[in-house]
Amino acid sequence: MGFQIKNLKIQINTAKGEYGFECEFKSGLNIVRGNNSSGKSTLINSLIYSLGMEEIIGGKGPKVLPYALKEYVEDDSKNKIKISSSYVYLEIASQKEIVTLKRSINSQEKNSKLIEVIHGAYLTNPMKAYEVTPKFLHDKGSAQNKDAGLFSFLEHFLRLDLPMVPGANGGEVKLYLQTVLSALLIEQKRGWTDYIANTPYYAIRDVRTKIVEFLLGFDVFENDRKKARILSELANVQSRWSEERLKVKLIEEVHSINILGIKSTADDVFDSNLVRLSKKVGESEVDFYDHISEMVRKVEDIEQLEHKYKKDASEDLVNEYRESKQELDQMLSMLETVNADCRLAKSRLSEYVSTKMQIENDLEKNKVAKKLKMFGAEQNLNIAKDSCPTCHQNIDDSLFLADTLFQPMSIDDNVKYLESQKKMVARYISGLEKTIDKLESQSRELSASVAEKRNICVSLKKDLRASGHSLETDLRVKIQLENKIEKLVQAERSIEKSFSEFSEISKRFKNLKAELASLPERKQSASDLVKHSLFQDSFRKYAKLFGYKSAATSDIEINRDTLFPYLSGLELREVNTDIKSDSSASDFVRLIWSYLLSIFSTSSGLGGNHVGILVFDEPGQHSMGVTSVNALLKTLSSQQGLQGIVAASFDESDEVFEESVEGVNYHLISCGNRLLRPES
Amino acid sequence: MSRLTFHRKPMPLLAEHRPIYKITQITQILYLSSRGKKSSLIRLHLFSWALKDSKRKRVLMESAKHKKVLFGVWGVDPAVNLALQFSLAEGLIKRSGVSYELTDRGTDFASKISPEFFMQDDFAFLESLGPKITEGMVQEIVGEWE
Repeated sequence: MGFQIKNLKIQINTAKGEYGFECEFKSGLNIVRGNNSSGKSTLINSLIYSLGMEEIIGGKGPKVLPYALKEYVEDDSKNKIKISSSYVYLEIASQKEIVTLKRSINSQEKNSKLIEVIHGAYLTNPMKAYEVTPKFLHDKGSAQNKDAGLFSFLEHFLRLDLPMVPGANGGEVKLYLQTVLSALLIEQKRGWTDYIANTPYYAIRDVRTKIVEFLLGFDVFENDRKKARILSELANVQSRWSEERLKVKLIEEVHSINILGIKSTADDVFDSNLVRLSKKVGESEVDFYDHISEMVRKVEDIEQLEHKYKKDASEDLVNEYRESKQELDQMLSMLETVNADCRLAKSRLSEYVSTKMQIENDLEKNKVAKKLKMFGAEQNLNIAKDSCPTCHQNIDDSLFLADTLFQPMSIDDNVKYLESQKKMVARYISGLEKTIDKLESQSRELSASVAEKRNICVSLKKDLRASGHSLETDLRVKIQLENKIEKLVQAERSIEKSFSEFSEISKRFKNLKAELASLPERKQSASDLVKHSLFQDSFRKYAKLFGYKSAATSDIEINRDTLFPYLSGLELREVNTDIKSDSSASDFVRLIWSYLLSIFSTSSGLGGNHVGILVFDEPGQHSMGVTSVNALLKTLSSQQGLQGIVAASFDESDEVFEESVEGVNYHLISCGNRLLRPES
Repeated sequence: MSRLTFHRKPMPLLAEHRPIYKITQITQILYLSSRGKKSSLIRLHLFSWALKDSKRKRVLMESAKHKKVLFGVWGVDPAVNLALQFSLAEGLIKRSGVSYELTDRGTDFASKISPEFFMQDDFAFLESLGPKITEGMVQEIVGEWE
């Protein structure tokens, strides 16, 4: 509220002096009158351009503007005069401040992406030296960069707090200023083809509904945003959890440790005291910490042994060597078995995976078939209602020839059947994957033991040759044990670190879930419902006032979800009652007027975010009747707190103009024969 | 004496063998990938068979580039014939010489099917393939069978 356009100036420098146009806009209704080729739309488009909003006209930069502002102007005798540079100035006011925006259209020195913000009423009072800050647009981040971006400047100036909304591709996107203003600035070419036709594309989901919800200041909007934020944070927490889980998993694999009690997805009741660590040793599993102490004891034993000198070790040695050799052979055959099992499991896994893909594919097709069946029934296909198109008898929903032995499932049952199949196969797969993990880790463990045993055998052989000396075998075992202990202790440390991380994520997860649960369901609050009903009432009122006749206005409803007008369940657009005349097209434009006005009046009556300006370029489309235009102008001029700017040609007739503005309070801006004139 | 009663137990069915699915597929083949919305029976079989498998779809796409059908032979599914009977009875297609052609009703039905209705990748496949697999290319292979 409280935004107003004060002055506009177009300045064109040529070799033969300055050309241009300047006009003042007042509060209330301003009518820009000009003949079709006089430059009426040039004026409106320059206004939109000067705000950096030219994407609403359908492009970026000065290319949306006509040649008369960029290349050459014509003098009275139709001579073309080349333009050396051109600028547009716009003086705008908010409750607190007046600024003037200056933007170049065609200039060697100034980039058209640069808009200079002059902090003062430069057009009404050009004498003073005002502070000037340059602002940029269209660069990526121009809407986000607080200091240099024009859009964030305007957002601040208009005192809007543009929210984040769900994007079309997931994630959150800012509801950009251009999208919001596309419901306020209506240009002539495409602007009258839909309720909010000129919204530039920024990958925002349900963008038009979001615009209306924002302008009306709906609460539901706020909740949606909160929900989207929490959901994205939840996803974030999930991915942090899985990352941490993966780290732990890696440790498990490398050290053949088994950790029980950490879920694979985020857990809101994680307790590190309930997690059990065990270590695989050969076939059996032992407690992780017990295992470490066991090894430490072994090292101590060996150290004690070293002190003793063994005289006649040779017989023992021979036995020991034999035993070790036997153990080694046993291990080798075990390793072979484990590897074979592992290969078998892997090949079964790949079979199951392809089965699962087939099921998923068929499931997808079944869902499609279900939709098609409903669609077919809508299209009056007998077959979609299980009825024979020739004899109208009931037939099976199948393409197999009539066969009493086979009765097809209904599609719904089939979907359920496939889903349970899918679950079953998925369970097989996850079981197999676990088995494979286990087998692989066993195989690694065994390979490592085999290598150790081999070394021991070699050492024993050496010992046999030179018995009587300090035993190399024991020494080797001791070194191996010490290495193992070192590694395990390291693993223990990383695991502890992960535990504290898990606890933290778990806490965050719990909080987020609680926050999500505390959000109300997606439904409009009591105040939203009041707004909705006022919005609907004023829409009906205006439609009637503007002479809408394709349907009874009392039958039109504003849909609660989309906030667009619906008639018996469908979005209300053109109603083709009579193809020959244009009456249905002009009737649709009446609805657009009513819609845009209702957004304003509802917002202004019940505290929404509308900034209180509407710019309509040639609203009288499709040979609209004079009475309707008159009703529109009357309504615009009588709105409290609304600055209206309407540009129209009034069929280039004084009579039509007089009739259209009868009983209307307005400020006239005349384009004359030609908008751009030499400056005197 | 106790009585025994028997019930037919419903069996699962491939979605492709639902009449509406096959009918829609046929109208899409005629609408998106056939010249003059018209096709011979054996060509429809080729498409229906190719759409069952992503590898076959790739080969069919390659065939369009080489202007020669790269399959030596393809499957003939009786379900296609039955679906054609139904489509004829529904007035979605009509016979045109030895070919099947979309009727106005069929064209209207096919044009209302959007990718989200139909299998998205099948739709995209047929759309990008266009009418590039011609009757002539198909006949060239069929001729070799005799």
